[in-house]
Amino acid sequence: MLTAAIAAGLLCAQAQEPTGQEPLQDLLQQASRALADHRYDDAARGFEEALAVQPRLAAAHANLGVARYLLGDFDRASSAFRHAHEISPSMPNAELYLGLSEARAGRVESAMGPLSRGFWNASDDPWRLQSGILLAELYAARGNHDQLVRVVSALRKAFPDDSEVLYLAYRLHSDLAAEAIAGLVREAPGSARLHQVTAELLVSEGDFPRAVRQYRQALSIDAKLSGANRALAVAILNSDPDEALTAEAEEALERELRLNPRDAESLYQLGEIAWRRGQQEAALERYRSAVEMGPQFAEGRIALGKALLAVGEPEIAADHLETAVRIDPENETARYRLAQAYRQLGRIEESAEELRQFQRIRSASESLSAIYRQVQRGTARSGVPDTRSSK
Amino acid sequence: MSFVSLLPSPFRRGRRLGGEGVIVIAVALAGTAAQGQQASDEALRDTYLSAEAAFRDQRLREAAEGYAKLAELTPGTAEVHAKLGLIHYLQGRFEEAVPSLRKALELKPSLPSVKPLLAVSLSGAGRHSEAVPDLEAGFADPSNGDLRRLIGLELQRSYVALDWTDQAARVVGELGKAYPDDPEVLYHVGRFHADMATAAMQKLLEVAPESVWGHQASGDALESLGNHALAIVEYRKALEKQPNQPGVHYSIGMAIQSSAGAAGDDEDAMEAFRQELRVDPSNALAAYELGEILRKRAHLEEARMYFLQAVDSRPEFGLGRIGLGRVLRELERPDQARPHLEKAVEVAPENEVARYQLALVYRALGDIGAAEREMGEFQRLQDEAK
Repeated sequence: MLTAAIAAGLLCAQAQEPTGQEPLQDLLQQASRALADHRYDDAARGFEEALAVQPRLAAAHANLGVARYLLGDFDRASSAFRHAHEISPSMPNAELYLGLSEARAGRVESAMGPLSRGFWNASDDPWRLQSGILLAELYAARGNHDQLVRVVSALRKAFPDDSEVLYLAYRLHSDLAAEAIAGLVREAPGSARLHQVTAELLVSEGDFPRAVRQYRQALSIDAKLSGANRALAVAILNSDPDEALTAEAEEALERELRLNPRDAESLYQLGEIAWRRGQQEAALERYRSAVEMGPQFAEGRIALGKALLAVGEPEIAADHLETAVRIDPENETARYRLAQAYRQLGRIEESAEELRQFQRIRSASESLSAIYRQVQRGTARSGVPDTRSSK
Repeated sequence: MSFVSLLPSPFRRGRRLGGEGVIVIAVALAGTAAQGQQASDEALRDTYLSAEAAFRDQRLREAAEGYAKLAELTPGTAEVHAKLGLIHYLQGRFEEAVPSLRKALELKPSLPSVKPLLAVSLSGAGRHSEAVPDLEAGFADPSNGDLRRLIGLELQRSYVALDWTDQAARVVGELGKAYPDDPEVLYHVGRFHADMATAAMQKLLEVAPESVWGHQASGDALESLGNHALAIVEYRKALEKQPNQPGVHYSIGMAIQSSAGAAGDDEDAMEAFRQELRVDPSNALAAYELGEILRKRAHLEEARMYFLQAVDSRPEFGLGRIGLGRVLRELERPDQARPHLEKAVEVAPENEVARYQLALVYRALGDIGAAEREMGEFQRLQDEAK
């Protein structure tokens, strides 16, 4: 792709450059053909001969740079691109190619300027992609995280589906997350936040009983820790709790709501507790409050839909479930409940479509869920002490 | 009593206002009395004193009731509205805080700290678009002192809620730099990047699960979990897609080294590192790992060559400099070792191995003073590590 991009871009420039001399024109055409045919040695010789006749041909310098670059002769490629850029500063992407050649030649310092300007001003996607990735590598090697994050963000916007860019973003953010958590371990080894991070790691591993212990420790240090009361409750509710533990979860949620009265998720979890206890009306009330506090909180809508279906209100349930699907189209529970609602309303075809969506999402999520957990765990583990040895 | 300054350092959703970054809102009681149209001075004073006592004792509901009453009695006193807004904020009642704080600013735009508090309350209420302009201004204003930390955390939260991840990343970077030792900041920086990493991984596995990058990312994730065998399987799948993919052989070598010491691991790891260098001769890490294995086997001359390759590729690579200096010392070439170890200390002053090796080199060169200085640094670093 790189070769094609270079050749196409610069050959185009070549064709537009008048020389005024027929023999020279022949030389240039032959060299261009050689470049297009991947005969880079021939191309380089041809452009050099043409430049011996007429040294001020910017496109010929650029094409010579291309041939040299593709031969791996980055020093001479740099020199050729530099000439091209000096003769014709407006030549599209010439500075970018210069930066690429400088970088490949190992001259990081002199590569940075042209590469950076070229990347931010590049008009042509394949080159912007290549230069952005290279620029990111250079920033990473220099430990310049601010610029690195900036370039990767720009790449993600410009190339949202490019797998290399996605990998780059994944690695960058994983490393930065690990660095921050390592800092937390170093600076505040007994802190509430570190217990919270450890608990989050355990939750991602499905080890809810240990997570509960870590959340309790976090809260014993800082009773008002952001979201920790709610997280404690959720961890308890996921660990097959008896009534005493369920009551502890309930108290934790009430504490969270005292700290943050608009916390829709806590209201939703209280609804779930009521629902488990068979208290439909109480659950409905909590779910309604959750939706009121967090209209964009899909889980609240789904739970409310579920409860409304149970009390024979499929029409209102369908409204909430449709909203939930709009908020989170890939939520399999929302699709499933909506299928149920449509069925109760006699909207059989729509119900069947929602079931199809449900099955599609479920099969995809089964293969993805494991790896998501791994990412979370991988990120957290890098800085967190081994939880397995702690009691 | 004419002015009362207040506020301990409470939490809001666990985010400290900052023991250091205290919001101070002074209530001018004398002024309120003068403006009270219907209340007697005495009644006003009693209401004020009981509201203040409730506030000091963290009885926020009573304090809010008291200040709400004061606000009715003295509707033109900006400080009273500001204090009421602050109390609602501390209660987590952000929606209720907003009108009080707006009223305070309307009456007295110069009231200190109220503008950022309003912005933070708007963010807390989920009104992120409204919150962002003043949060940005507050975060950019150094006169906000330690309050900047709270404003920054809230600004990042708003950006994330608005899906403005570029801006969020910028603020996270600035917070990390400004408060490198702050657990709260470190936690939020870590969470932000973990979420971003997860999102990128999710997207990668959606759009290209079988790509070389998909397999490489899966290998990395498995490796970080300590699942070395499966990680190697994923890395090999990546190589099936792209045999010359830079970095993958190195990752395989590291995974082999990390797996529990089966016989021949070193040989396999070395072969992987060598393959990496065939694909990418500039991979300083692969060269360094090879150098380390060879150094431990006392193949010092070979080790030296690889360490040299590592630092040629990455002159600022501290570990590479230490490795090179160390083998040169062991090869009894302390004069050649010295510049590499001095460079290592320059790029990694807190590395105790570098200090120790440099001390040994200085001693070998007869520079006893410098040797003692470096040994002192080494001891200091060891003591700190304990």
